[in-house]
Amino acid sequence: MKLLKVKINNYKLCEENFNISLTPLANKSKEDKEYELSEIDENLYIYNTLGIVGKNASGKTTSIEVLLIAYDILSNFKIKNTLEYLNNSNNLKIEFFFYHDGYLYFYKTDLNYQKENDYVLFQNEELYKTKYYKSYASELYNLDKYEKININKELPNDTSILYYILKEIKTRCFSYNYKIENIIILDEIIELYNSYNPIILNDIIELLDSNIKNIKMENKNKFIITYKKNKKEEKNKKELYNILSSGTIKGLYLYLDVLISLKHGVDLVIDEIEIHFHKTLVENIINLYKDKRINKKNATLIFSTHYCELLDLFNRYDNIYITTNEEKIKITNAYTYNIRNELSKSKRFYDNTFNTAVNYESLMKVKKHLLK
Amino acid sequence: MKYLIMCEGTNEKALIELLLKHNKLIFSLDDLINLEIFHARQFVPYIISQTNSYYGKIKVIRIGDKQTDLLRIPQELAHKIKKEDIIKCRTSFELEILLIINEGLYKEFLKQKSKISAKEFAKKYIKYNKKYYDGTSQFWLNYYSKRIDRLVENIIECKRLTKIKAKEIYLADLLKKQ
Repeated sequence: MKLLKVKINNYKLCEENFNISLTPLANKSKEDKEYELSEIDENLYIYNTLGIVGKNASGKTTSIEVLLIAYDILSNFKIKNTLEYLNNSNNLKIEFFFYHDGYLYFYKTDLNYQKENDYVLFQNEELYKTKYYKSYASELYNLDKYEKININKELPNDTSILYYILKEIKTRCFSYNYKIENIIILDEIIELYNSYNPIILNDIIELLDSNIKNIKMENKNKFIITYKKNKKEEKNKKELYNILSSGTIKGLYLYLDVLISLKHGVDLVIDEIEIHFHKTLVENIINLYKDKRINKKNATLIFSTHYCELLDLFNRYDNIYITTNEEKIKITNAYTYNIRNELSKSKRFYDNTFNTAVNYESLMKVKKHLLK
Repeated sequence: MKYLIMCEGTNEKALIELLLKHNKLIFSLDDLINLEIFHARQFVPYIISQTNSYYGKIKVIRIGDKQTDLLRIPQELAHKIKKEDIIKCRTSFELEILLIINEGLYKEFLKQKSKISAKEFAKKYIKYNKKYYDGTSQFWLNYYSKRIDRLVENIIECKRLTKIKAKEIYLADLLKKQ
């Protein structure tokens, strides 16, 4: 299952028909097919990476939330992980296209938060479907090709009819959320690594903290740390948590998410990818999604960032979205801007091609206070 | 449009800052990129990064004496700074000529000019607060900070004594018309 396009109305400050597409708008070069795009069916391409940039308070996080709501419905058939975004929503309308097992689907629903039950109600749901043919590639979103599926819903009203279509799939999408990292699940994280490949845990720890050679988990509250010079220490979970730097712990969480995403071909959504990490690490993660030898199952990495140099890793423009906020949050595909060729993407960002530059006058106002 | 002021030396920078502080120049602090006068002969990374936040046109004024080296515009600034927007502002002679003029020693200096530079001449003959000129910015600030009008007069006089070259401006041209 792959999400192709999402559109939302009545969500926070988003403009009408706020939409994000994960399928290419521009021509696809041979290099792009190799590094930037994944072919999920014959001639049906999606982005390997999608970046959302914009200045502070321009709506990057809101855009990420919109995607997460769609993924939440596709993954859990209810509003589960994104309930906090929707607990004031009224008459929110979301619709999205997705591809699954040879078919294209179009789904739309109204979402209404029920305060007394603390859940979100699915109303006026509609689902359409068409078999995918190569010739449809250029008109994926043409609803004339789709046929409505009539479903006799026998599900609770906080559950989506997508359950009937997608119930067999296990892992669909998840988001890396640096706020949830805590001591409680540190042992679970290490256990998960071990279930994948115990060696990779040590390599990732070494990458994040060059003083530590490896960590071995004896049981849920007993860990053996081996340092670079072969000195060993036994630590309980709390002690281990205190020894590891905040960056190392966040890195362990993030790399685990990346591993799972790449292994199962599920999309990973990260808000502010640059937080806590060295630029090289972030570049490395982005590039893992572009390497088809590693990203065998067509996972997509979706991230927002202030770190515009990351955009220089992209060979295309259409997988970059720019957010702006002037009363309403607007999201625009960078491909639609009139762009000169001689500057790098990051330079264009700072150069205000996308109206994303920090306001010079505001910067100088603050500086003037400091000059006094 | 903003000005990017690049001074070749720290003394030029100190004098321009002094004139700016006393509102004697054709530009104000707000007209300057990053509210700052830079001490540089070329675009160093610090200056380049400071121009990132401003996306309008930039006029560069280089302040120094000879300025024989070409100012190289980095690629990332090429669309903000055109060659014709780089202005050479000459301090006419060496900057010390201002002190010499102020002390009424210009004629004396001309007699010795072939043997001694203006800087060495100033070090030999010019004193302020019982201290000989030592080439530091602090001396310049001590010397002129309480008599800005003398500095302005000396700059104007200096231009009068200079053979004017085309395509160049002089310190006096940066002064606000009184």
